[in-house]
Amino acid sequence: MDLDELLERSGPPICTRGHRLEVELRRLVRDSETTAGRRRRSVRLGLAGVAVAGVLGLAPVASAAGLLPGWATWSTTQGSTCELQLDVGLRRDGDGELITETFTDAEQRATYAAAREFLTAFDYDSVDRDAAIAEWQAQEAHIRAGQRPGDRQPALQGDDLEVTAVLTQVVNRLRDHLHGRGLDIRAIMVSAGNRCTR
Amino acid sequence: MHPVTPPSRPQQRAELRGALRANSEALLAYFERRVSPREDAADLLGDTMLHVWRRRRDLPPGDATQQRMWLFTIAGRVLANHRRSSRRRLALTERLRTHLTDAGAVPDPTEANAVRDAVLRLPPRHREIVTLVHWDGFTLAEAAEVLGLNQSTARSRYAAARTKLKNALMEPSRT
Repeated sequence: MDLDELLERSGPPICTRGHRLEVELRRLVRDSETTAGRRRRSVRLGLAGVAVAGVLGLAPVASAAGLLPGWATWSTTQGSTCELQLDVGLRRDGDGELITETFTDAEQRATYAAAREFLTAFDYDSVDRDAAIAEWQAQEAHIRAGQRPGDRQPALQGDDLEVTAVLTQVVNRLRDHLHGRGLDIRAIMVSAGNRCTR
Repeated sequence: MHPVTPPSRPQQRAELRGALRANSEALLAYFERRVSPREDAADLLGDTMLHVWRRRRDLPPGDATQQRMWLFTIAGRVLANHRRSSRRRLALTERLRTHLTDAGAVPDPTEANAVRDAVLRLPPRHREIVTLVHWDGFTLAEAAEVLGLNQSTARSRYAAARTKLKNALMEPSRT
């Protein structure tokens, strides 16, 4: 068997194709058209709609405090210890949410430097936990109210709610901080992660 | 020369609907082969569809091959974002996730594992061009376009990748 043939057969297995999948995909094409036509936020419960790449899950965090910007250990009211991390990066072509604005290299580098400086010095204890949660829940309720029942994502609860609310506060402050310096947070990539253990 | 009339909004929608229907299985397979767990492919496909609907004005009109490459270029960006971060789950794709969980997989040829391992050990710049050509069925020229490479770079990367693969597959097992 030659290399071409071996390569053709080396693809990881995919699910069995059939009528049911075909129906499901047609439904997805139709539903995505409808969903995309609504306001963007109606399908996105991310951090405040900035250039944040998928924030609500568990990105690995492997560093000690002070080595990475925006790193903190957070004890939740549920008794969990959570590692939180916000990090920033230069936006390369195709990174992050697709945006129509363009930013020069100088703008991106200035924004990146200012954001790193802000996050490195950020004091997570300055975040008012209850106020952060209340603000998040108000925003979440507003978004969910605009969604059809079938499209509604479940409201966050427990540790997820708390760390998301706190991280949202930090991103909001970062955005304000950059804005105050004439910089736009969308010029950079902001990524967030958390890992909680009880 | 006649001025080119841009397609009307309903035409754009109909064209994109057709392009998505024609390519959704291939796009799903593209994600299935690249993410773990496999069910995440459903969310990535959903994300890709939301992106392309919002960018439908950029759809190359009338050319199915160009449209396919445009869709895969966006899929590539969605995948790159996924690799940098964890994803949210989309309610939109819950049923498709379930399908991917329940459905059996197409049988894996016995000799595939060793070759796949060799492919996955390639440096990313080599791996992506090989997988686009051999797993997703693009020509080398199309793969170059999807990856934003010029043809000459794509050819040399592909040749280098094949050389590495041949060497890797000829190496005796060290276990």
